[in-house]
Amino acid sequence: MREILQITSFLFLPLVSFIILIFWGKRFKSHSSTLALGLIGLMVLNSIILFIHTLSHPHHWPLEQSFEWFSTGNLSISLGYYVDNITSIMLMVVSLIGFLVHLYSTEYMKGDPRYSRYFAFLGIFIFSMNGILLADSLIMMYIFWELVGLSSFLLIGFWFEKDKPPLAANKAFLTNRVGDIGMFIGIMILYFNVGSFNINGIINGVGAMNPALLTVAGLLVFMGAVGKSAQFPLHIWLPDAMEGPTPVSALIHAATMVAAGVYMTFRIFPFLTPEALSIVAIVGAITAFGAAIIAITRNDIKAVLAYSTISQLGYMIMALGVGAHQAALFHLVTHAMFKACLFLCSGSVIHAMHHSLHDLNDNDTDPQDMRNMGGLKDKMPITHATMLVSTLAIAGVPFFSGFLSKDAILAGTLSYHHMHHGWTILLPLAGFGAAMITAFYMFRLIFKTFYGKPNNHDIYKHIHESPYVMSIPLMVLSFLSLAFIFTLNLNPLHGHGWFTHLIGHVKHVAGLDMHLVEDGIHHAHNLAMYISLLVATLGIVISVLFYYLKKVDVEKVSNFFNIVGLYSLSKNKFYIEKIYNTILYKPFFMQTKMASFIDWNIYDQKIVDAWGWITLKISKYSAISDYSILDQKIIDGTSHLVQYISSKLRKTQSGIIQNYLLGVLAVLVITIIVINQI
Amino acid sequence: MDYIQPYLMLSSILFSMGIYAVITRKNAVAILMGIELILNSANINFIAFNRFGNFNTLDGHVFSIFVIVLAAAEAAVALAIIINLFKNIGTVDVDQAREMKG
Amino acid sequence: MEKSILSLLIFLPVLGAIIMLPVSKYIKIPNVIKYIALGTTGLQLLLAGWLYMNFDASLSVMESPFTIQVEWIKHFNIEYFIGIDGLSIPMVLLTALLSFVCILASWNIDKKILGYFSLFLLLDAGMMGVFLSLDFFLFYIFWEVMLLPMYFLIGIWGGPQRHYAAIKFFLYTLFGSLFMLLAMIGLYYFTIPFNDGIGTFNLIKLIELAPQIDAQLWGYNVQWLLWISLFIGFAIKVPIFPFHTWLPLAHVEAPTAISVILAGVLLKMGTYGLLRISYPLLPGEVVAFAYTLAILGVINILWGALNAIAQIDMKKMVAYSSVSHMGYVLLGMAAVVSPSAAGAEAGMNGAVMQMFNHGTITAMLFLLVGVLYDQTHHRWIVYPENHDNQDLAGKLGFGGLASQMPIYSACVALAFFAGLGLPALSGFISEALCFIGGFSAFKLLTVIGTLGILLNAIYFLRAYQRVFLGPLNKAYEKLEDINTRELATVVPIAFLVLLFGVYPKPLVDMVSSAISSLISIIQGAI
Repeated sequence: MREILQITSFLFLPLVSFIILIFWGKRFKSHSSTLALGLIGLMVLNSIILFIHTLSHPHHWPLEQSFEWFSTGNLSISLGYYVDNITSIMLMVVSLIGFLVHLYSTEYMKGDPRYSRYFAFLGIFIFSMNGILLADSLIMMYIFWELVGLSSFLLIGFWFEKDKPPLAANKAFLTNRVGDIGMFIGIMILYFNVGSFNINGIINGVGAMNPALLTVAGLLVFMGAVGKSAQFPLHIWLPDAMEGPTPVSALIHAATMVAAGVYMTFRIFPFLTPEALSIVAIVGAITAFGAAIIAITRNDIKAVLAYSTISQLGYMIMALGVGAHQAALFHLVTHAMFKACLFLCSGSVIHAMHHSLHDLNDNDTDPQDMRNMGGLKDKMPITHATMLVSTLAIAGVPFFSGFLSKDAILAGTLSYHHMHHGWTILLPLAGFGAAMITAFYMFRLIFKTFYGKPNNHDIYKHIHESPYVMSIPLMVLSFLSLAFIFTLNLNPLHGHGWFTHLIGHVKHVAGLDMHLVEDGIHHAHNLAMYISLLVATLGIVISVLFYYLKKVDVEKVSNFFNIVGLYSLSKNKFYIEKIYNTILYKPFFMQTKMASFIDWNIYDQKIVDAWGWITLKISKYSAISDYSILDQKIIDGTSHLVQYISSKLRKTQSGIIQNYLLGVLAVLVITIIVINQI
Repeated sequence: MDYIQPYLMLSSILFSMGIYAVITRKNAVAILMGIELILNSANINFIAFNRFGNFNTLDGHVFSIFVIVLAAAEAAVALAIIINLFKNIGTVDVDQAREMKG
Repeated sequence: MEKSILSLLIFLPVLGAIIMLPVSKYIKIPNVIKYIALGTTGLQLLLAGWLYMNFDASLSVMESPFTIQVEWIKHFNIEYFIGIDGLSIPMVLLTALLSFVCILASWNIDKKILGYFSLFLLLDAGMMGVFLSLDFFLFYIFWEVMLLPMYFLIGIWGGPQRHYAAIKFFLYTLFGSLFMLLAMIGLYYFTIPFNDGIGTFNLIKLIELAPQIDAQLWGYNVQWLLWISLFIGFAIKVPIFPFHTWLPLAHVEAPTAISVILAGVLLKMGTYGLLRISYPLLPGEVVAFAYTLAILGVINILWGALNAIAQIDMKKMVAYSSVSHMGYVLLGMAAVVSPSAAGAEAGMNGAVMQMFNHGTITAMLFLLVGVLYDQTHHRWIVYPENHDNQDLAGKLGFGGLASQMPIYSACVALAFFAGLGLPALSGFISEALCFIGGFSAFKLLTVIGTLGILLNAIYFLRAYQRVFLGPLNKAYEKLEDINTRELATVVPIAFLVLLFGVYPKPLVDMVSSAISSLISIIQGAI
């Protein structure tokens, strides 16, 4: 019982926060944040307790419990939880970052008229996210999957009085739905071939399934992750989602919600066949590399981070695809920390820019555009320091967590290529290439924002560092981006520690020999490390050259790359939006208009109403024939005949009695004669 | 006379004269006179047949007295009608009484 | 009480309608008619609640204490046979609830009040009668009783094109009813050899008798002819593509409360008829027709949603969404022939649950659209190109209403998300079950049908964004938020939607045993 209470509190605490703040939030006003912080704080404590329990009692795991939701006789759907090491790690990540974001938002969102509703929405988001983490069955995961989509919709569109946020929110929800369709079909295929929705049940039961069908089912379920984790080709919603408040971007679009796709893929990893996995890897690689290229040409600070997120998620997916599942989860956690930190730092900068522009009564300049920044490091030291730490982490510099996790992934790609040869060389190429580009554009961001001379002196004058409520989360997160947190080992090159040990091994049941995979990764480890060090250094050096020392003319380089159109491709995000618009959106809406036209104007008005028209015509003709022929000619004709005869007969009625008498007499005489004859 | 034919001839002649009068005379009173002639011819017929018909009873004679009475009554009524007709159309010319003309 | 409750449920509204006539003439309290109507439907709702409390889902109709079976027209073996089982109880509850809510929603009717409310109560009685009848003749009578009040209600109190809409609805549905009448007579006649020389309208007896019919008529199997006639009759009501075009017109032109009843209850009668009459009586035909039914279901889902996306009148959009949602019901119903027992159950239970859930959700949608229409007198999301006022043509009809009417926008958000099948709201469960069932029987068709998940989301979200989000449209700065009466119509329904989304067990338990027996009848004919 105590266990059930402890686990379900991860769901109930944020849900209670949501319910109270949605209905009675107006009464709390600015104390809403206190309530929310309190409840989420409790949740963080709970997660820490759970986590410590995980570390100290490895044999109690996993915890699972299932409650029947409803049953129709043969079909029974149950909801329950399944908590193992991974779950407790993820729960702590979500709780911690959730708490820090709550704290940060108390200052960032201060003065917003819908303050309480913001925290309510954060509550329902954490509720849904925990639901995904705790889910023991794919159906339960799907339910919370969609609820997370709802929370994301509410949060992205939070400032709905503006034009863009609602459109962005719609885009996010609908793009996710596309992925959800695939996920649902995959769930159905698995259910009818294995007999269960339960993840462990499926893992144990797929042995008997047709491998081709299993590949398809696995890929379909993976489609949900493609949507949720913004993989190509469903990545389009994430950059637009930056319309939401920055803490929201930090929480859901960097650290947690988008990670749900990776988590889900991790959970279904045991039954993804090698063919499915290769496609997963390709998707991840394309995403990682493509997004990195686009990030180079972004000017909005949040846009850079958004594409960076997409790229890093690509890494995680690619890792799962090549079998390096530990690396994927490792990177998920490290990325959550440093990406959340990056977003919150950028939020700090944007917050300062906002205040500065407000002081200047300037409503036109974009506070998020890096071209309006520059040289902020002296004015915002804490933000600068924490952002630098996180950037070093994401760039893959030793002593920072990102180096370890990225290194592990790249080792995985190398090992994969070593095993499969051929086209798979593209995977490590994409991985290392993206690593270099990541280092490049992240430092570009740092240099453009914090270094050099301020681009706009007026704005610069009014910049202040953010208050402690906002800086403390930054400091905590940047601290968590250090390498030794995850290895408890000061050796920067040592990748394995308590954390990787905790993730443990996964039993693969669809044809992948995990021993081979893990051996391969182990062997490729050193090579990967050297190449990634090289690549990161290259990236940073080039960035320093371009943006810090300003030794190279950026214009000339862009034009050079543009000879083969590369620069434009990056600038225009590979024209994906335009392509989707012409191939998908426009024709689709045209089709719906046509469908409506066909249905109403043609089918209903012409064909269905035609029956009415025919009936009316027939009835008109029958009325005509009834009247003019039947009534006028036949019936009235009879009376005309009678009238005619009577007019002729009337002439005998002369009115002269003697004529009548004569008639009588004549007839009498004739009668007598005739009778006498007979 | 020993046989009936002369009486019958007389009554036929009278009957024809009466019919002629009814059919051709314009004056209503003259028509009445014709009617009287018809009635009286019928009377002669009744009496003649009774005399020459081997009857025990005197039905014919009695009947002709009925007819005389009736003729008188009818003449009175008819004349009353003619007076009314005169009052309505101002003449006793039956050709002028053609309200019932079809 | 047990014996009379069902009759009470049917005839209480009639009583109310009759009482109204003298009362309105002699008692001069304002709104007395509306209060009588409210009281009648409220009482009906309470009775329905009592019925639910005392309902035992495991009893079949013949065993249930509520069933009444008395001779009515002896010469033709017509009985007054009413009863309740797992299939009809959700419909009865839905009708009682929606009738009550609609009386509240009709509070603003201001012309010919007596006519409106008495006709509405008659309609209520008719609907109850349809769901409770177990004698085909009685069923048909109540079916027709429903039609006439609808004609007047749409034709007198409706929108600009009401006459056209009313007559089209009436004739179209009547056309279908004729086929039902033919089938009814056919069943009566063709079962004579099996029933000791007497024909019967008793639906329960016909379950045993009808499948034995093996006669031929004009070269066609009689069972097939019966199935087709019944199907046409019910298909027009559901409505199944291509018999659906009366729906957008009738819904748009009808007054708000009538749209709610039309979409919430009347549409369900088509599928209820199929489940109550066609399915148990002609199981062989069901098996043969299931694939076609699934195809029609998927067409409904997709065509309805595609059309909804292109609509600029909010009410028409919701009307097409009803077409789409009824497609789920059809797909679930077609799953009855699935080789997997779990799948068949999922499909059929999902179908009946979707009937109830869609009734509640679409009721909420129409009620909410009506709230806005009452204040602004138009429903354009975007003004049409040929609008009278050419300045407005092509511009947004509303915009940013969420800042002006927060509670209303929240209600609409709930309704829209329920319509698109968000989990934790009742629509998701029935939709998911229909898909699961459909998938077990017809894989490819269901996969095509799952596109509906996306399509349904598109139009709801687009409409929400264009009407409620974004900058506030200057013309509507003075709008008032939803008032208490309107909120009182929506809250009970919203509560049910949330309740059955989170805890569907009561609904499932109500229907599952009746559905199981239905499934076993049909699976026996495979």
